[in-house]
Amino acid sequence: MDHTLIVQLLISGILLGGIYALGSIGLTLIFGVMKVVNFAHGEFFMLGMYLTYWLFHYFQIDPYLSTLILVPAVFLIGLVTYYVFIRPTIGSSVLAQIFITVGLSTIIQNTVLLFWSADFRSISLSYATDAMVFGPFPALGVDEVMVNPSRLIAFSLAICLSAAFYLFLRFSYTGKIIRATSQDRSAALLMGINIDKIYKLTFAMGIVLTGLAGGLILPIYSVHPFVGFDLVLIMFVVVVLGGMGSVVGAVISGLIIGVVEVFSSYWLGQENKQVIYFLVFIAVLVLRPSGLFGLKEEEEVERIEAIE
Amino acid sequence: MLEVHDVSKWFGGNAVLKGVSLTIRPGDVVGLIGPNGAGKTTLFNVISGFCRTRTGYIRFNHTDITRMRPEEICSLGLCRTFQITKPFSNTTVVKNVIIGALVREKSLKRAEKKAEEVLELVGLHDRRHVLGRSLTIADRKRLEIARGLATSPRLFLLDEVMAGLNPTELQEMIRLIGHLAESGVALLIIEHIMGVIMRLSHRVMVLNHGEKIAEGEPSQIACDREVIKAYLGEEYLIAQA
Amino acid sequence: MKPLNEITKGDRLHLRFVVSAVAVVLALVLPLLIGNDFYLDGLILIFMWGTYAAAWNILAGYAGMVSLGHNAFFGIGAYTSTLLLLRFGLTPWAGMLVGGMLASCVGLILGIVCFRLRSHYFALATLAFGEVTYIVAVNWRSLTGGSEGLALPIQPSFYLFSFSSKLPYVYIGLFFLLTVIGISYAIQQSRLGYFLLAFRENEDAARALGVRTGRVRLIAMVLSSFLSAIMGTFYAQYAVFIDPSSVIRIQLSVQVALFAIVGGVGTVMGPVIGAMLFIPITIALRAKMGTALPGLHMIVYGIILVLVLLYMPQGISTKLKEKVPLLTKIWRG
Repeated sequence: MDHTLIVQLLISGILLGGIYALGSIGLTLIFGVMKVVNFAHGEFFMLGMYLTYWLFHYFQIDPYLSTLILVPAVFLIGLVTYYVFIRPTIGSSVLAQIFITVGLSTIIQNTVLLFWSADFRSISLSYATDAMVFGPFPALGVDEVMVNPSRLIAFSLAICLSAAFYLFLRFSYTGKIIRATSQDRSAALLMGINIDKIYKLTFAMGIVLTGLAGGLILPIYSVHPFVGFDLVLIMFVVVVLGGMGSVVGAVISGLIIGVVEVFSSYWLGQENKQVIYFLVFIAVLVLRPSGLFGLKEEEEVERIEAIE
Repeated sequence: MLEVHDVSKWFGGNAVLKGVSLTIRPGDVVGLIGPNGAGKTTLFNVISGFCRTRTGYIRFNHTDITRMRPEEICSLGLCRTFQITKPFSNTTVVKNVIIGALVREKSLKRAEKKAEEVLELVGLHDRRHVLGRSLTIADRKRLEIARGLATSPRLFLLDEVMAGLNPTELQEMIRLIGHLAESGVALLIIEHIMGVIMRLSHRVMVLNHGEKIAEGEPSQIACDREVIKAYLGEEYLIAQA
Repeated sequence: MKPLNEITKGDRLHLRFVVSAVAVVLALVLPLLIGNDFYLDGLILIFMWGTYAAAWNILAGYAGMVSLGHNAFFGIGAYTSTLLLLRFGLTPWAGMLVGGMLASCVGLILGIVCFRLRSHYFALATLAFGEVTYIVAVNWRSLTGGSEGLALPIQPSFYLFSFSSKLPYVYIGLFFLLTVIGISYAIQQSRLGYFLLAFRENEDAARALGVRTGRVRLIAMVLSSFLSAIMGTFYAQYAVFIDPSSVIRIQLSVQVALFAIVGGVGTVMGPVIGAMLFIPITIALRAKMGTALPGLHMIVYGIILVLVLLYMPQGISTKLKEKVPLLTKIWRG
């Protein structure tokens, strides 16, 4: 296969993967800290897209600038969602937790459908329509490579935000508390950490990251009421591959899945590409459920038992 | 009856069990003691099939059970309780016990009858319609024992069944265990309450840091230097000297 | 009337028998009295979705394994019998059994492959499985006809499982519903029922008591997928048209889960009650709103689901039992 093509696809994949990474960090963190699998996560991505769209449509606010508005707005939405839907089910049966988020997802999808119709909506940025050209790189046997500027901007911002969030988790006081709670809830409780506060903060932040990812992707993809569903499946693949609860895992596997998607889209076509990453998904779940960076479940159980 | 030979278990880089061996004969009552973290529950997990040993073997009535699954081991007659009780919370006490009885009894009717008998023995009969999650600690411990008993075990592994009981409950539990021992069931008991262990056991085994440091009659163990060192520390021995 | 504590077990069985018999007779006679095709259609839908929901419930409610991919089994049933009919002229009655067996095999493989997966992970795996099945159905055009779907012949004939009036469908649907209810009830009272209970309450404790959890969960899986596939065939025969979007969409899986949860997951009658509640609501909403307000009925579904999970997680049937303790006591003892 032609080198240029490979490089082209690789770059597209990585650029796309950056967005997946950003969108998935929230999902994996929410699971890591609260053990909640948020099936409605994609809907917040979609809401981020719609909000950015309306801000652009009515107020001509540049989508990248609207992130500033998005952050507090989505944070608020996240908090409300936590209080109404998530908090009551923490500690309940798995069935309740799964279906509350499924119910939430249904409600959001169809409310959006009702009010904003099923039309696909997109925006185009005047400064970002011309493809940027890189290369050629004769040493690698590669001709010119075209890069869509929106994708490049989105990727850069996504990576910056991801990195910033990672640093926050790693070095800030709150970040450390979040990580501690994720590793050992009982110990955290014993140390006087207000678990409810951590949960609500983590949830809201996770939602914000996803909403932001949505905002970043709007110049590239159109939004419609069910875009969240398609995306949440991808995000689940990313999260499971990376390891539930691992932020680093989410970023790395986000990039991997982005590349996988672009390549499978090329080889198998638009409709069939999904099969590949679902197969990846099932393979990971079966062979190594803890993913690349997650804790092996057996280890976790054994660690608890090793107290005596 | 039970032959445990040279079993070990690592978690990550930590050796939680190192070359532990023990033998139990029919009708034995063996106490298993040791400081926290010594590996006692892990040993139970290994024997009952919840964990795999890396070395050695385990034989129960001449059958090699080293690689067997917990449910298979139970049906052979080796049963265990859990230190942190695991009642079936949304189910009544009697149903909890019936489930245990079903491993031996193919007929539901006989299982129900067996359950009633066991509940009488253990003293839970009047609370048999209470849901698992509404039970007190003492009753949960009784339920653990009742469920295990319903499986008609030949060897019963009891993991800290006395923990958290008040003096009255303790007396009742001691009586119950004594009764079990008399009925011919072999017992391997993990316990922290020394007086109880010393009274009930024919033999005592001591683990520390995953290794067996002593084994023998209760009176011997009580004076064993290594045992005292393990529990109370080197300084105590030196101070005593 | 005897005082409460003198009601014997014999009396109880007698009572149950009489009430059940009356209910069945009513169910048999009622359709004859309803002349209106519209209502008969509603009844058929209730029976069909109720049975499907009850099948899902065997895995999710009894075994405690939440599946989000059951639509795959429904679809396998529908497509298998339909393709066998269209390609080989095989009667759907036989095709139904073939579909059921195929679905059970697939379910068995899925169960074995996902052996070690717990709760959330299992749900995700079934979700992926359901989606893959959907994509395969859409893209394997030579086999399934893709998005255009398959149309079934409309010649009324018993052999072809096709009838000109709705009445036979009602009775067939009722038959399946009663069968599934019977199976659910039998499981609940049997050793298998106890094992499933133990497995879903606490797997470790169950294993420590000798419950063969591996075997038990596979049995639940096979039963559940078999019955779901049977309903797929029934749907195909009734709707005389199937395509991926009508039989393998994930929304269908969520719908039956909804019925089962609201009705009372883990109970015998819960899924049926859920279907009896929701189908009329859906039909009413659709009749009133038409396509004017798209998605409205799904919003209602979602809200009801959330409300039930927040305030009545055990479902309506359990709540009802609490409200009428006297009757429950007489019925159950």
